[in-house]
Amino acid sequence: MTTLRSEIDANFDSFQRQLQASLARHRGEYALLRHGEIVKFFVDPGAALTAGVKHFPDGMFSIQEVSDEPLDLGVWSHA
Amino acid sequence: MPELNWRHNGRRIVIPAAILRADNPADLSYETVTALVDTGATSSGIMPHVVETLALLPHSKRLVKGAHGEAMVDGFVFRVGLFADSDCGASTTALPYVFDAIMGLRFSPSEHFAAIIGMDILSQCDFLVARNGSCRLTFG
Repeated sequence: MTTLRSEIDANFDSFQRQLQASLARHRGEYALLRHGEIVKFFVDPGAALTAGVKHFPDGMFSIQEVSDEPLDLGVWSHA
Repeated sequence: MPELNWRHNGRRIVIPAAILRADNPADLSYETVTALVDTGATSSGIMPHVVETLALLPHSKRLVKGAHGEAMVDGFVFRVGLFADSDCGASTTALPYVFDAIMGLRFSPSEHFAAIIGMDILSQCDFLVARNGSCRLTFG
């Protein structure tokens, strides 16, 4: 049985392979993914989450920001 | 516009904040936390006990950069609310102003605060720190 963790990991791997192509048209947006496929892009993560909950009641989906820049942790960088 | 005025203690800038789930926009129940205002953080974050209290699930993997290099961490979608001033400071009994959902992080525990307000929220505010210790955050 697929767990949420393995779903997120598989979706992330697939998303990374498609990232360069996605950046051209969707930089800064949020991709809703399920079973390794990008379902749709959203302008904010809340809309992506609401759509995921509505369309996939089993909870097996993930959301990735279309970005190739790592986040900075700020004060927590040194924790 | 709602605003929050307070004084920092010379060591860190913390404010009361509300953390809300994001899967149902109509659900305005929240967890009140002490939050660090951190202009150096790209994203806001919450501590593990807040994740557990709100029963949040991870929905993302994110690459973060820290003093010890880069690492992958879980991303969580949640909402942040701020409390505007009443006559005697921030009124945490009134409904908070709630920002649109963000993709935030789960940070390791701190004894001083339970959330970090990063630039994803601060960039939607006017933020003033004066040399006499007074601070003002205007939002909405």
